[in-house]
Amino acid sequence: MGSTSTKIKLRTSDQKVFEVEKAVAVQSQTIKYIYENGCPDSVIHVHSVSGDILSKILDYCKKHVNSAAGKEDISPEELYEWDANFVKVDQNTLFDLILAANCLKIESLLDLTCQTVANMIKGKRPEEIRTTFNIKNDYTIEAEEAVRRENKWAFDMLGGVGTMVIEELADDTMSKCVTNTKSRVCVIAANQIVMMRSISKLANKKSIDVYKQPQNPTTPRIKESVKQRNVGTGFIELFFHFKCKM
Amino acid sequence: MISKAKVGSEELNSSFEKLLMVAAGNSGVRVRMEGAVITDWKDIPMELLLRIVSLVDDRTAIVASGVCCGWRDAICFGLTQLSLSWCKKNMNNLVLSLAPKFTRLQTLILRQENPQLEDNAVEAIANFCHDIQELDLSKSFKLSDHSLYALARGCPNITKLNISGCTSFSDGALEYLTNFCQKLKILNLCGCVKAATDRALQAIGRNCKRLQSLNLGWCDNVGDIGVMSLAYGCPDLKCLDLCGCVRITDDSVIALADKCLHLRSLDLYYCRNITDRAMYSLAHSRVNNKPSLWQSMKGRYDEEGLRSLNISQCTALTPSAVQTLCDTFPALHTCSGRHTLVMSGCLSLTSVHCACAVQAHRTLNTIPHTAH
Repeated sequence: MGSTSTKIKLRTSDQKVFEVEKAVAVQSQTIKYIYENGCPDSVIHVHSVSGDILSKILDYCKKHVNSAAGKEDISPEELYEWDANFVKVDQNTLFDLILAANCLKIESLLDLTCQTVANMIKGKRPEEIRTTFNIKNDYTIEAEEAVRRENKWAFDMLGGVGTMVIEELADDTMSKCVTNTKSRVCVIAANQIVMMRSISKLANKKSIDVYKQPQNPTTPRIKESVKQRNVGTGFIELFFHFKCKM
Repeated sequence: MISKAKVGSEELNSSFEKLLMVAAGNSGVRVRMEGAVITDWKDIPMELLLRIVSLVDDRTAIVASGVCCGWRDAICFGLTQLSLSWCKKNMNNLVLSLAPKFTRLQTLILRQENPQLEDNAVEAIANFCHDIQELDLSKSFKLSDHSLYALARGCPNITKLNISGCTSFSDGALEYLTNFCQKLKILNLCGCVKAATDRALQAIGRNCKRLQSLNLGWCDNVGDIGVMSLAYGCPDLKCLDLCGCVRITDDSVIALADKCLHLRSLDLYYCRNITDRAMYSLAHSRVNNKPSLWQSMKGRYDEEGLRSLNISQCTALTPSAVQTLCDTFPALHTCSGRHTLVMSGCLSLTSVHCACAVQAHRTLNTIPHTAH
């Protein structure tokens, strides 16, 4: 019997048994180590991974082994897309995948899952991260206050005192607003059709940062939204989190 | 972006340690793998959280440390590199708030576009972050000597310090710092006119024996005594920027040529007092210090020698001296691809060329012209 069809048996925490090709199973450095240093015929008990998760992981390993060996005709871009779809799972599953990939020592899967989580937390505030990952806030009131202050400072370039929001104004009125304002930050509402270049030029002269509110802003922190009607009557205190700068 | 290296690697445990190997025997023996049963994101193992955090920007890393106690503890334990240069308004407050948390920081970049940092923030860093090795405080106009005194007491492991543009520092405070921070390898004092004086340089020469790179750009109080003390005290000096140090003369360069045999990069822009004597001293020093047969393994001889030299506006130099220098150091180039011998403003030196420029010229001339 040829060694190309060597199979390895894996038993999961919920007593499911998987029989996989050796080439696929040894994508996991842990399994490889156990296989090479233990008895080849024994069943490897993967104690901390459930059947569902191991099944998914074995899919991943199989896909990557086949594509590397040329058994499957798949381009690097297609593999990249397959990977992207692989991690489109709920956060519980993602969590289990990361832990399992770490335990089984599958570097590429660990990279993929960690990068996915990194992308999910980039640019978010603590409350949003807690919601996404279902994490309970276990801070004391004082510690939470300190965190709130820290985040205010960390996101200081947008919002805070000195922000002006322009909504539903005519272009020449808007120009007057920008010319006369004492604000350092000027926010133009999403539905506002503006003469972008002229506003930018004016704003640059006065060292004002101009931001355009995106279509669906994440604005849980808006305290109040006031329409600027009077030219040059000062500025509005608002707390926005914007994604794009004009 | 934070690189993977920003996380302390000794904390990453191997899952092999969790393995329980049952002695191999008959078939059917099960080999077990230990693993804790973790179900919540707040309990994610520290090395995994740090791996994720190493993939995000600094601000997100700070935010992540505020999600819950578990994440805070993991990140505060593992975060070793942080930059707050993106912070335009509240850098001082952030440093005051973060220093007590991130006590394991080794690299901290606080370069500012508009000056925000004050003494109390640097004092906080000195009080909490004793592992700091690299600190960038450039353009912190508001800092006073109190900051240097604090750093001296709190951060003795500093190897790379950038205080360029911190114009309020005095030489006494800098001298005090060098007494305590003797591991300094890279020091940037560009524009620190009050701090970079001969007195400070003498202190550096006495205390910072491992110094490799020093930037004294535009410090016009620097004179020969200072540079000579530096040359005698810091034999490992590789890069020295004396741009705009108008007071120095040939004596400085002769001392450097004599004592700093690893010198790779020297900037003498606008040092009008430099004459051919300096050039010849550099060339002769290299020739004289070529290792003898039985000394060649000592490693004091740097194979390539001077790689970069800026003598722009040193109008007293003549072509023969500079050409000798160019011939002695093969790494000095005037050719367009690798322009490492910079002589702008020296109209008399246009005839000086490196060997490759001459070679290219010769090749062009030997291409035979086709007849007819």
